[in-house]
Amino acid sequence: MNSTPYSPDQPIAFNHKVHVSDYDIQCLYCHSYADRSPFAGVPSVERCMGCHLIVAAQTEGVQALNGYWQRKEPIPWTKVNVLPRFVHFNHEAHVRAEVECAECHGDVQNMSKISQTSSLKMGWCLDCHRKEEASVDCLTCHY
Amino acid sequence: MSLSQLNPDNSKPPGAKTFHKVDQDVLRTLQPGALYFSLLGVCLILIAFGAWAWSQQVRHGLGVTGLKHPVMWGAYITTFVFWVGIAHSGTLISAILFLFRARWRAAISRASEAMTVFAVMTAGLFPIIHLGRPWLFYWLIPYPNERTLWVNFRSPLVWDVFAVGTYFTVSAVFFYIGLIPDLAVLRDNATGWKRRIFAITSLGWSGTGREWKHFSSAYLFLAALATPLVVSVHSIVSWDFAVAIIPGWHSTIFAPYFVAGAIFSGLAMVLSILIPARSILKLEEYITMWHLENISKLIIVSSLIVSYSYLTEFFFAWYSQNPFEQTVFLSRAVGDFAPLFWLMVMCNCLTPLLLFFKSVRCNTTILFIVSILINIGMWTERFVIIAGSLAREYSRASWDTYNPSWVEWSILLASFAWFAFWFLLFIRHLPAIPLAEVKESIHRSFHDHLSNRQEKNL
Amino acid sequence: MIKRRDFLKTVGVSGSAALMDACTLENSEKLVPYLVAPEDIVPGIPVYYTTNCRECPAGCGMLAKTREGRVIKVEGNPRHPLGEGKLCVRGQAAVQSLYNPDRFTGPLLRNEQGQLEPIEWDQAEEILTAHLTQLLTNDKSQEIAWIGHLLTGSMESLIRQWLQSLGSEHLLFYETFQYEPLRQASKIAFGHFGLPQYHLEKAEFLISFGANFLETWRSNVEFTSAFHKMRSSRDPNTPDNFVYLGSRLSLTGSNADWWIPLQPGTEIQLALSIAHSILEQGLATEETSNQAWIASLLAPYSPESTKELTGVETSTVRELAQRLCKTPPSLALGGEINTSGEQALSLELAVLLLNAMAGNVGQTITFGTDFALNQLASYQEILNLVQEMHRGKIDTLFLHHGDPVFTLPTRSGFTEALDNVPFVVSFSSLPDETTAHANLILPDHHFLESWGDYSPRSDLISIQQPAMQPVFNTRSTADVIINVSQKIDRLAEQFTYSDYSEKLYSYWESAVRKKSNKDVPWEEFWPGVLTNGGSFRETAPVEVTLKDISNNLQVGEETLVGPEGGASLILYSSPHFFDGRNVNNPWLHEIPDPTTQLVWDSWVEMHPDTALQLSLKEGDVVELSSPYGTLKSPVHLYDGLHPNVVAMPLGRDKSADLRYASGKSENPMQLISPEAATDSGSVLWRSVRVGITKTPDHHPLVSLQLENGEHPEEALVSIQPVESIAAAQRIQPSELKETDISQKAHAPPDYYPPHDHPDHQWSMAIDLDACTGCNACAAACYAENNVPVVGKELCSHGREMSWIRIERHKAPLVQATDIVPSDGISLPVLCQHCHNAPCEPVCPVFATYHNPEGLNAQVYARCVGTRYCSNNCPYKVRRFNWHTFTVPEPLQLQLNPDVTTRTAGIMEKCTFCVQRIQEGKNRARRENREIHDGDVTPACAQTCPTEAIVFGDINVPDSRIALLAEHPRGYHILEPLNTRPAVTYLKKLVPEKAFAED
Repeated sequence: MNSTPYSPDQPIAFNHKVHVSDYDIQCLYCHSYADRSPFAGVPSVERCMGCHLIVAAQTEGVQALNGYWQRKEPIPWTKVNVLPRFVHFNHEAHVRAEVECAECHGDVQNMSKISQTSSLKMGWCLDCHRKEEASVDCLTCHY
Repeated sequence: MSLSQLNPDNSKPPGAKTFHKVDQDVLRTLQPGALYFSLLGVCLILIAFGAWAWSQQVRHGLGVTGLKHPVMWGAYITTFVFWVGIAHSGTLISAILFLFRARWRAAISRASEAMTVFAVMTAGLFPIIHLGRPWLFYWLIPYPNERTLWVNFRSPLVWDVFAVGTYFTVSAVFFYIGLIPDLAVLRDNATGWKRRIFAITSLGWSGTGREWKHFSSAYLFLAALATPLVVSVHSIVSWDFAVAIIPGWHSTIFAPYFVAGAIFSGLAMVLSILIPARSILKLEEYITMWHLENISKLIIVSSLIVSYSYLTEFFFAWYSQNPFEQTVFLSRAVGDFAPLFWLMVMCNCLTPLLLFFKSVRCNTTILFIVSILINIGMWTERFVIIAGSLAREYSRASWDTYNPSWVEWSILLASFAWFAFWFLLFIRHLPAIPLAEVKESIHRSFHDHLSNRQEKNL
Repeated sequence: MIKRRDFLKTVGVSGSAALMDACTLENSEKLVPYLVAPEDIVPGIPVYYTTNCRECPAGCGMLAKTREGRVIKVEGNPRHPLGEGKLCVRGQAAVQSLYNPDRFTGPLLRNEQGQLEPIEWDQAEEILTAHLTQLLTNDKSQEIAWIGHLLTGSMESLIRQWLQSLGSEHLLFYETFQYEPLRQASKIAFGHFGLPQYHLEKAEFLISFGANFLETWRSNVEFTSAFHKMRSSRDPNTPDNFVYLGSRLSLTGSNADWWIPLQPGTEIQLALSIAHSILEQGLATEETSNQAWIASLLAPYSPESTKELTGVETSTVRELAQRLCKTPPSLALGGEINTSGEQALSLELAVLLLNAMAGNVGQTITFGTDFALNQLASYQEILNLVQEMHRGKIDTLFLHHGDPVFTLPTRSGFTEALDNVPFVVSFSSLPDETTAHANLILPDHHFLESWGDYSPRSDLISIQQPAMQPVFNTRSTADVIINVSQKIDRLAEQFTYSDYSEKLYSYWESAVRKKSNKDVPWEEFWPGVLTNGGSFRETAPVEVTLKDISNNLQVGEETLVGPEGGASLILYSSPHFFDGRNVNNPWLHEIPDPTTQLVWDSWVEMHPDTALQLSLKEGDVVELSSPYGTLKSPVHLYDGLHPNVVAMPLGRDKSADLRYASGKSENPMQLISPEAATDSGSVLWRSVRVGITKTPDHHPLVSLQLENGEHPEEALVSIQPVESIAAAQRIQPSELKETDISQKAHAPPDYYPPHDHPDHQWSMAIDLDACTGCNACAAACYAENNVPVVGKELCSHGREMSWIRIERHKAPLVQATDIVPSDGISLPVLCQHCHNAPCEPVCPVFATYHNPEGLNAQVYARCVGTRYCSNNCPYKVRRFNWHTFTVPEPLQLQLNPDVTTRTAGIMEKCTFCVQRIQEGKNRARRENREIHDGDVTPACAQTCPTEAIVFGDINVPDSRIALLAEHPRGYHILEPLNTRPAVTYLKKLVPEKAFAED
């Protein structure tokens, strides 16, 4: 894939490093659907505010967050790890198979700005599926 | 019978000429007139229109064609098979007759080789034109990729890719090799940048005996290489259908049946091109009635084979007592496709019988008309086989009919324009008659009085 | 609860908007999280809400499947006694009335110019409030009238309470099909007003006098599954236990073993002559056999004497009599609109008498359950209100659903009367003929968007939950009424509910829990209701005795008005469109009509012989003229008709501004008499003869099965072998014994190693003896798999996309005799997922291949569109995307996010609902177990009311599918081709000898 990883600007400069490394928050705390749904899920604004009513309330990012909360608007994050429409990826199945988040999403805990570290191309998927002897039947993902 | 015996004395030369006269006569053809440019213009317009029609298809989907459930193949595949067929007689004349030492072929071999190359170039477009997602055509070619996706070698469509690819390569090389000595002649008669181009393309040919020795062995070798392709390519094309389980397609006779048909249509196309060409280019002395007559005789033979195949198909349907097979062939004879079927019988089985009469064979006008009819008939034949069978398949509840839309018609027309376009370029820039071979035949010529008698007989 | 859904809406919409554009650029994709995450919703995991179907008055139980807060599919509620998990074609299409692009997007007011202009809800309620207050002050409140569709439970009580407190007596529940004759007949015959309850499943033998109980009659899903129980338990040696009598062979009729094509109006004579024959042969029950009045009543109707009129042989009548009585209990069903003339009531009486004499009362016919339909106003009552309206005695008319202008006889004068009412308020949510006359339109929610309850029968009441936020700016009628009342002083104190749900709770507390199970506390009762979809209990049938009906029985020549020599006109309710209420649901147009195989448009059916005399061809537009009106409609030739009859479906077409209704065929209600039947007060559905005149116009009708004599060579080639190999197969009891076609027995030697299926081998069985051809499976497939609708034009070019088609196979009907084998077979054809699939080897790029679980996979992403696979498929089940098909907003909200939407140039076909297979396997893994039989059910099998379609993993020993695959009736389509399909068909069981021959 292209040399500079895809890393678009987000409506709020969210810093994974701070949350994961410094404050040691588990992925599943925010992306709480990953172990029970095809989608990992993005935390609701409410969940963010759960902490940020008090924590770091004055920082610029949290101010922005608060703005969304006050306006009762969801935050239009820009998706970083994108799969085409004709691919059906299931987080639950991969979590169940004890695939570490980092294996696909990269070293998120040290990313101050989130970026796409894996190509997410079919060949890349297949490498792992072969290695782990997971199904390589087309219908596993394409239907 | 050996093809070389088509003419009792095949060493008979077409009139006595000097080498210089030959050069002059032939090179004269390279001076274009107004007619030439107007023809070229018409071709370009038709090609442009066809391209636009196709762009509509790519933009809006195949819905703009007349294709439908269950008739998923129609005019496009028909035209593909048609052009591949046309290609064949070229190789037949230039390669097979060469191997059979039928020297009368000399004068017309160049034109037929060119026809082969251009016809394959035309045919090759259609498998791509007819795709639902043409921009992915390269997926039909096996190439290593990270998804480790491969082509399905069990699919006749993949065989086609290789068959047509090979055929194009070989016939193109064959064509070029044959050209080399003549390119040298052009080089010697040309000046300026043209001379430079011909200098390069003629590979510094100087006409030494050693060069001639290598040339003739290379030519012979390629002829030998091209000959089996005449059979193999169209056999494979026919398997596109024979391999399928569709009644009316699934038949063991398809390979020989299609090859015969191909040669049949190809020879007809040779006539349709040569007859006007020889009069326009004033080459009557080189492409004589004698050539045309020999081609006509070949046409009779192939026509009889084709007619026989038609009968065999119906016999199978009756003899097998397979209700599906019978349904298909009855629908051909008396169903929605009956008019086309009988048109095809008229063109391919009955009209060629006229050629048994020498008076017909020696009348260029009639000959031309017959050849055109045969071309129409052969396109119709493929159409009836392809669309007619699909429309009457196993599932009665899905039966339907098929009419090509304006898109398919204009692309068909454009394909003829495309073919003509290349041919026009060819006769404008390269000698339509192989100087070397004609000279060779002159060199061989003796017994002028015999040749005079020959002239009288015509 | 409602509040929370506000947030869902943003997600639902954004999610689906993204779903529409096929390949999106990376940076164009947005990730919109919830503002507040709803506790019971996980993105990507469906949530089901129990509700009930209001597409027709039957009110089957329904489950609404929602994803990210929007309904994507509806299915039957397995815990609900009505439907037991099944829905009909109309129920499956309900989501399209929910997301219908032509729905009113908000309240509308008609201005001086007579144009409807949008207004705000507050404004709308203001206007209504003001008007009502004024009425009350002028003390003209008795001039308020309400005509609405059938209501029960809390909504009914709310409306009654409201109209009462307003002081209006005019509350009319109006449905197009009101069953007055039957309701009256049971009162006369058994002193019990209202519809009897039928138990088809118990019947050994069934006669239907034109009642199309598999289509629209009363409760079709319930009756269809009951019918299947009756058929599946029948003695295989006498498989013919259903006889259909009527002038038109309906879908129900084509499921019968025998059809008696009757001259319209002679049904009653036949019924009475059967009764006579019962008495004569001493087959009647004691109570009836020695009743003097019965003997004297039946005396004139000996089979010999009626034969003249009915044309039915005495032997046939005797046989019918014997079959009815020899193997009790039997059942005779009477009467639908196609038999309802001036003698409709008498016919119902005669049929009830038949049942009584055969001893079916208390067995297959019971009384004691009170049906909601009993509350319907009779047509006579409607006419009375129309008089009031004409006399200017009605100031304000509320129209709550239903389209009376379209469904009442046009000459009834309702339309004119409507224009005579100063203030017409319509709660309809879709434009129709009636809203065209409304002054104020207050669009109601769709039933999937609003609270409600419905009690079709006294023994069950189902809850109707809002499964999603309203799609448009609509408002529940109940809430409108509550809001308005609270602004009117006189009503304010009675309507103190915050909103309708509060009223609903209190009703269920007081009227349901306290009555049925008072010992269960509300805290337990209510969740139970929500999970089960309602509250269900048993009701004991009441004893009834037959009364003397002779005085009420008028039997004679049925008088039809109209030109001499004209054909008598019968109307029938369209199996897809009921009375036209869902005429704007595209699936129902694109799925071929079961009897005619026609798509889109409407038509008038005519017997080929009749057409021949008038030199009419298919699609020629004719003008039908009766004394009451004339209309134009294209002709469809149909041999399932009595030659003296022309038939028209109701509600396939409307002139209202609806994008899916062509307006090409006019409303047949223009032709029939405005009078009400003198005895039952019903519409005289069959009252006219029509003159037929050919017009120069031709309106081509599109049939998706071009099988019927359109191909000249058919005369030459014998079709029979093709038929019997290729398609629908029948079997006779005698063959049944020795036949055993297990795949192994038949499979020729294979020169290639077989595919092995280590884990699963998905297979399907389809029982042609059970399939009624109702099309529910087709609609379910459209809904589940995002199958696009292409429209009439493209259908006519063979571009339809349906993944499952129901082929209709029947021998041409010979009407020479009095009773003919109806002989219809409906053959559902879908991808056979062959073991040796011809489509697989020809694909140059492996876009289609045989997967390890026995599926014939089709990988859209890999397909380049050579279309060779479709050419080589002998079953012709593959569909090609000729264009990129899209749906108008907001129909795209219905698309199933688990199924890729296809684009132009790609081949597609039935996948055995692979997304459900994946989901099932995932669920099993989540619960750390093996897949069980029944874990995976494709949409088609799920909804099949007769469970004709069974799906499963053949590797699971003694799973239902494993057994059916070896069934003695089993066969494969085109078996000689050795494609070895994964779909096994079970042959239809047919009688061996003619009906009345011994």
